[in-house]
Amino acid sequence: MRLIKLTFMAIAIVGLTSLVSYSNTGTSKAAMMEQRTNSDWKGTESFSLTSAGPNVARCGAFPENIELTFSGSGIDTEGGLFNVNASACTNTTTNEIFDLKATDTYLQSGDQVFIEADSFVQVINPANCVATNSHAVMGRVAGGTGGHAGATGHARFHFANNLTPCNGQNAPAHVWFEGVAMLP
Amino acid sequence: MRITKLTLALLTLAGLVFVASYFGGQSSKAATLPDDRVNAHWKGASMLTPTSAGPNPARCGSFPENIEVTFSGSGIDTGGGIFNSAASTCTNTTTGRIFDLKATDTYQSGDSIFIETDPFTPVLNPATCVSTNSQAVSFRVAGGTGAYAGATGQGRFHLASNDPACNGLAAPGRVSFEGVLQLAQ
Repeated sequence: MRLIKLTFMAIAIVGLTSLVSYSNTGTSKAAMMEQRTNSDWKGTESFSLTSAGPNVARCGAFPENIELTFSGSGIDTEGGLFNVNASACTNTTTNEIFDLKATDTYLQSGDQVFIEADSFVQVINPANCVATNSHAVMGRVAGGTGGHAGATGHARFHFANNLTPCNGQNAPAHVWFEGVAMLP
Repeated sequence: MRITKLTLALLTLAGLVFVASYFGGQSSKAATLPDDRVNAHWKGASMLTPTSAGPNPARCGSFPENIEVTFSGSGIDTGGGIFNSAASTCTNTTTGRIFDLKATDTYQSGDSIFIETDPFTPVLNPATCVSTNSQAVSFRVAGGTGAYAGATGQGRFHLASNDPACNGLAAPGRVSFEGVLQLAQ
């Protein structure tokens, strides 16, 4: 009698396990709905300075403030490989970076995402010529094109770049981030 | 009289802000390195390109299930600035598991640090062709050379690479990390 009860219990457990497994795979519709939100958005990119000069209307008085433009490439979990074009203003007295905007263009789809970052002050370590943010910098997704039109989201960014005047070395700046990207 | 006091107060405040700003700017090293030998805000990023792949049964296990892959690249971190990187790892071609990943980062000074990571299995997203770790991967500093001889530390890194078999595009893999670097006393 005990053996029969045990057998029934084992069969019931196997049945329940199968049911749970089936239910999990059966919720593909719900999973698809959630695919519009990438809560594991992360990526890394590198870029080089392409120009620096006055833009009083955008950045303020020159020469205290200058506009910088960058281009580079990277990869993220939202669209894969991308090229990036970015520009920012910087206060050469305080080392504040402000009005930083970037456009990432995915190589595979041609879609773009527009990024805007909070202002931050770079901390310079003269011992190793690295300029970096002391705290994570908040950035927002401000729309895009193609499959990323109307995209929103936010992320925390880190920057690290070599100061050429400090050591005479040219090297790309690196940026990496983690956050959430959402499609409408 | 009140206006004079207010003006003086504002001038004092402005002066204090300036002084704070001045010292704040100069003490950046102290701010990031409370103890010169401990960098609690160690972080950086690098790019790596595969340079070879082949059997190494002694290190990686039986071939062709397991292969050894080597990489070279460059990056920057707050520990020593810009660096060149040479890395090698074993990978199980059946499971995709990456194990015994070791890297040597060599700074402009000529000093190197040695990195060893935990094993992990990257996940490929066929829609984007991106292969990445699903959880942060832990690593350790296993010594170094020059100023980094005997260095220790640990951190967590993220890796993202494009699978050329997926979209025909070749691009370097990219790594970013954060952790703590401690130099020997």
